[in-house]
Amino acid sequence: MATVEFEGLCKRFGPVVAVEDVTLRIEDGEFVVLVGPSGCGKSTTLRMLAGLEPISSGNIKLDGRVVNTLAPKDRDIAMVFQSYALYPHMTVYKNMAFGLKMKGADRATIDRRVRDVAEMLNISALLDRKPRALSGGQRQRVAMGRALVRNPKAFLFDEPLSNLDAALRAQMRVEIKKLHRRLGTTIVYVTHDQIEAMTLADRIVLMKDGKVEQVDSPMAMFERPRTKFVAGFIGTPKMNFLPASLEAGGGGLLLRLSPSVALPIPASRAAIYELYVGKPVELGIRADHLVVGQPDDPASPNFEVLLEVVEPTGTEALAFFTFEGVELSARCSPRDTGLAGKSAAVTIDLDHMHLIDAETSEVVAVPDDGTAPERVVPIEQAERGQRAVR
Amino acid sequence: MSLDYRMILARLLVYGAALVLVTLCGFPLVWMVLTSIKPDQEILSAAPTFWTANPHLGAFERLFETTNFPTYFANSLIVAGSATVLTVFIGALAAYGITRFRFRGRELVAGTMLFTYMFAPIMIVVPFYIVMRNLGLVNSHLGLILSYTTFSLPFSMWLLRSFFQSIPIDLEEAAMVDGASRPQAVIRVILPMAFPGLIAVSIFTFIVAWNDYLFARVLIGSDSLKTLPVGIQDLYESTVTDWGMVMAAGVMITLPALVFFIAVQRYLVAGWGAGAVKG
Ligand SMILES: Nc1ncnc2c1ncn2[C@@H]1O[C@H](COP(=O)(O)OP(=O)(O)OP(=O)(O)O)[C@@H](O)[C@H]1O
Ligand SMILES: [Mg+2]
Repeated sequence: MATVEFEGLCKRFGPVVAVEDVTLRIEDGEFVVLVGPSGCGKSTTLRMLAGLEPISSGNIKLDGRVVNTLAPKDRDIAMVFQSYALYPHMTVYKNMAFGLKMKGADRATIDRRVRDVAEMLNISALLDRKPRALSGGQRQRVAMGRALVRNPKAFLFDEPLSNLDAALRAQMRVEIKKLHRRLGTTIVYVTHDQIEAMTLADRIVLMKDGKVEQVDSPMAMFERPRTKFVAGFIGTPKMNFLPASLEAGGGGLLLRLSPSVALPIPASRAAIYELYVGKPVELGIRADHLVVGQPDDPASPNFEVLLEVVEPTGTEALAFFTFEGVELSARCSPRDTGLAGKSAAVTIDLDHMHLIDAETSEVVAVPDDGTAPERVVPIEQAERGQRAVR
Repeated sequence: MSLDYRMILARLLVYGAALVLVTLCGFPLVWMVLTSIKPDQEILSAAPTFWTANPHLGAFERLFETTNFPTYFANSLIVAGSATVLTVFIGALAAYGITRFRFRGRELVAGTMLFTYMFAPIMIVVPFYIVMRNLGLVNSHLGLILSYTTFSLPFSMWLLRSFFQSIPIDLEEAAMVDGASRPQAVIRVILPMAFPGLIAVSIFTFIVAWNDYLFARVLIGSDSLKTLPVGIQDLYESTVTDWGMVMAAGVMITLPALVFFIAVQRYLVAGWGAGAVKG
């Protein structure tokens, strides 16, 4: 049980700045996921917390105590490595017992703890095997078991599921979440997979180029991304971005997407967006709010496009088309798969639009005005969608 | 049918070739052992005999009772044993350092290690003697131990380096997060995994030190400090060469190396394999 604090944390490898000025407070018992594209400094941050990488500047505090130079062994933290890092010359039992042995626990305690945890993770039958005689999934469990046995202040995970197949990954994700519920230990979890981040995290820390881009709950991150990068990173399919401009007209504000398409901005947003009239902006809109088909309300903004591909994902389908030279995706009914190659109307729900200042790449903040929350895409569907997009 | 025949022929050829090799290497050894237990008349008779009707251990008795053989033997054990321990210890530390820490000149050290073997020992023995004399280590076991260590260290480092390189750094880090200090992590995780390498290095060093004649000849003067190869050479200096005794000495020299080798050779084989693939 511990709080973790980073204060202006920096890490440089020679000229390379791997982590830059990260400030973050992780509450006791919180499940925080560091997510971001490859090379953004997630692992480095985690390794600094574990004490495996000396820090260049800033502070790391555990339970309020500065631990900048404390040896890893004295931090009482457990880490699960992407490679699992099981000791090949030891049996599963010995692997799991290692940490307690180092702590000087007596045999009976070690035996009880190892067997309890093995029971909990369903690996009791494997205790006498060597790691090389285990499957990938079993190794993963043993690696987690080794961390759990010690009952540490915090668990660190570095992409623990990336070597598993999709089904096993989904299963382990659920198990990790359950374990956290049960143990209530602080967890810092690194992944580059935004779905893992969305499903596991109490709070997501999205990193880019060594800096923290946004820290928020998964839903807040999804609904109110602060930058274009966050908006594009979180959620599947990827958010649509479209260059646009704002102009006054029709008694309000119009969002011009092409010479022939200009859509009225909802009144609730017009007041905020007014400042951007005439400036280069981008429209960000998720496929969920871009729907193929005529709107129920004929006044809703819509425009005609030529659908190129329609991919059913089960309960619904994704349609892909090019508009003004930009590839976009829209939601449609699975019955509409026959529309591929035909033109259709696409209705856009501007109540859920994001306006991006093209100069700063920041999303223009809209106060939470109580409009209906965005529809949450169920995970399975999101994953299927993600595959479809690739 | 013909296939069977061909396979048998191939087998025969392989085994035949192996037999020739074994005979070539093994015959002198067998002859040495046999000679050491033959009576003197048989050794010196004009028509050599293979088996002897009356084996006896007289030559061994003479070796142990009339010569300084036991002293030479003890000296050899001390020198070769110490050189081995020292080489393995320093070699492991160096290889660990080179594979785990970043420092200026690391690649240079790693790359030039084996250059030291470009010089034949005979070329460096005189400079070596001068160095040792300046250090006051001529005619001492320490001098000899240091020489052998110097000589086997580069190869040992090179071999251990590839072993250490093949051990993922994650393992060590996992151990350290699990509550081990760096030395503990090395002792409990890294060394057990590098064990075949350590064995290979110790065999190499032991045999180099055990068999060396040149350095022992040049660096050691007093009889009480001589190692086996030099000591035995001096058995020839008596007016009449006691061939039985020389052969007995030969047997006694070969035995420890052989026993050591057989005891650990399976690790050695595993060691070469791993080192070769991962290096
Ligand atoms: N030992 C090192 N020496 C030099 N540069 C390094 C070292 N370790 C990491 N870096 C650099 O620091 C940056 C951050 O690396 P890091 O491993 O933290 O990324 P990551 O977010 O974990 O990426 P991934 O998702 O690919 O694991 C990268 O640009 C990387 O090249
Ligand atoms: Mg990483």
